[in-house]
Amino acid sequence: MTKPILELKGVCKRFGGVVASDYVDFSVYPGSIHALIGPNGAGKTTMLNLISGIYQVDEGEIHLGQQQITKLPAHQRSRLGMGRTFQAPRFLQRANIRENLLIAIDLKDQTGHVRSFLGKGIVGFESELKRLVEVAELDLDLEDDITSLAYGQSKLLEIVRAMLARPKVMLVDEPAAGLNGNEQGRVIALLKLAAAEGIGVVLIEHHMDMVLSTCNEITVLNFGKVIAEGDPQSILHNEHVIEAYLGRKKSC
Amino acid sequence: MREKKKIFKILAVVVICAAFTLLVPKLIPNQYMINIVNNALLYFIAILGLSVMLGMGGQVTFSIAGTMGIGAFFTAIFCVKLGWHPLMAILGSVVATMAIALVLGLALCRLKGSYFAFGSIALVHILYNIMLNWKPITGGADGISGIPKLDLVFYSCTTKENYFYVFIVVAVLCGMIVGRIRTSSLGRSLASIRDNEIAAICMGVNIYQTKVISFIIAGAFSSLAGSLLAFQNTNITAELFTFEQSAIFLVMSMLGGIESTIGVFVGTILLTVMPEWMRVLASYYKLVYGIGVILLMIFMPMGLAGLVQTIYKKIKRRKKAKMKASGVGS
Repeated sequence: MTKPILELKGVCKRFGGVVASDYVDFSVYPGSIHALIGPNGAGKTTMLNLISGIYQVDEGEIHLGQQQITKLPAHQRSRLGMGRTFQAPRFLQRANIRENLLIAIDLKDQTGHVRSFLGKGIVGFESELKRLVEVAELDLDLEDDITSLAYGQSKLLEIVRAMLARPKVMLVDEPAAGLNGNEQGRVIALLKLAAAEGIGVVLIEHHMDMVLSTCNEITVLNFGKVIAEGDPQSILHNEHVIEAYLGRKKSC
Repeated sequence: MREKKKIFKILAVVVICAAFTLLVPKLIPNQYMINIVNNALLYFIAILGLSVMLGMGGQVTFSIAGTMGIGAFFTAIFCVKLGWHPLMAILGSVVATMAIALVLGLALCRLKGSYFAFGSIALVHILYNIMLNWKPITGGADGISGIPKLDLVFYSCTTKENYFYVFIVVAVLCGMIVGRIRTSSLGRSLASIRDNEIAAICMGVNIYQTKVISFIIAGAFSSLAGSLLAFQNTNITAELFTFEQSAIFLVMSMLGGIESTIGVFVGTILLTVMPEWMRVLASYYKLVYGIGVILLMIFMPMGLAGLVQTIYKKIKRRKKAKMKASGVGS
């Protein structure tokens, strides 16, 4: 069996009295798509923020491959291969599309600002971008303002940006929210490509059909706790999951 | 297409620079006015540092006049008290100012947003008071005089025109460096800090470190300007490096457009020369100036360059729409 690329061990996070993450364990394997699902407020996005380092954990450990990253700041985790997208796409509003994509790769190959200043460009950017853009079926003019993109395009482009950096783990937060069926299909194609290239994908998504058709593994959260884990079929029939989503039947 | 545009842009800049260089000394026979234009060029060099911090990084700073003063006083001390060669003095003062900027930046860049701006106001006041009161080193209120003329080994400056030619070469070189920074990974890292800090750290940008680097770069440009100012004026006092001077730098950069090097240049020249043109207004000048700044912030927050860019983009969009429409038609 392969070793997990991302491993959470007993991760805890409290905001005052609210327990957003309650001794959570799970592992993500390279080349798999691992879904985090759960009702609203279950602590899914908090989990991504803990993994990417925007929040620091109160207890527990996070490992990226062989490396313990629990105490590392977010920018170092990113350089080690932690990619992510956001629920509402986060771009550099006053920059064009090219700059928005280049920033994703700039600091990954440790080229350094001085070498970049001297014109040692990033190798293979154009061809890599072309390949991803074809899968995402995006028609881009790289010199356009980022603000000229429609919502769906910007959601797709954010995944492309994360993949350009060739991460080890990619955290994807509700990529299909607000997208139409066609665009959802393109998101799935991108995620499947990422998995095929050996990236461990962590996916938060509310569209259950999308989760069931793309994911290898599902972890269900409720009130910051893992209530179920397993492959899609077993999750569908798990009592705890049904209870969390639909409520408990009153026993008469 | 992209290459063509780039070449066109470079050509335009070369032509403008050449015209400026050749025409200005001929058109202004008056030594006093050449002095003003020289000062404008030095301010431009200093403001280039500001355009890295504010234009790219979005960090409002009032420290520019302070670091400019550090550079000027280092140069004066190196030349007058230690008898260094002017070139050595320039180099030495830029390096020394960068070292000081590193220390100051490490402390100041921990602050965010408007706190950073207020911190930089405090800094420029502290530096001013040190320059004004540290008599044994800076000469107190009299400053330091007797700075030798600029001697660049193969070119020595005796007239104001000589200085003009040196300053314009340095200004163009500095402008090119800043343009290069803008399109390199450092420029993009700074832009990410300006636009979206969360996205920045998730792209691997070390916000604190990048801000300190930009502070050091700003220190380098402003100290170079201060250094050259010391040679041109042959005497310097703390009065040249006040908070008011920093505020004027900020307005100059905003007028031209902080995100564009050419914009900064135009803004600096305009605001330096304008008081001379508006002599008729006498003491009402400050009133007109103040109202002008308010209107500028409301209607042109990105300055003249921003205005030009908006118009350009509108035309481009219209062209694209037209092309699409005709494509559908055929």
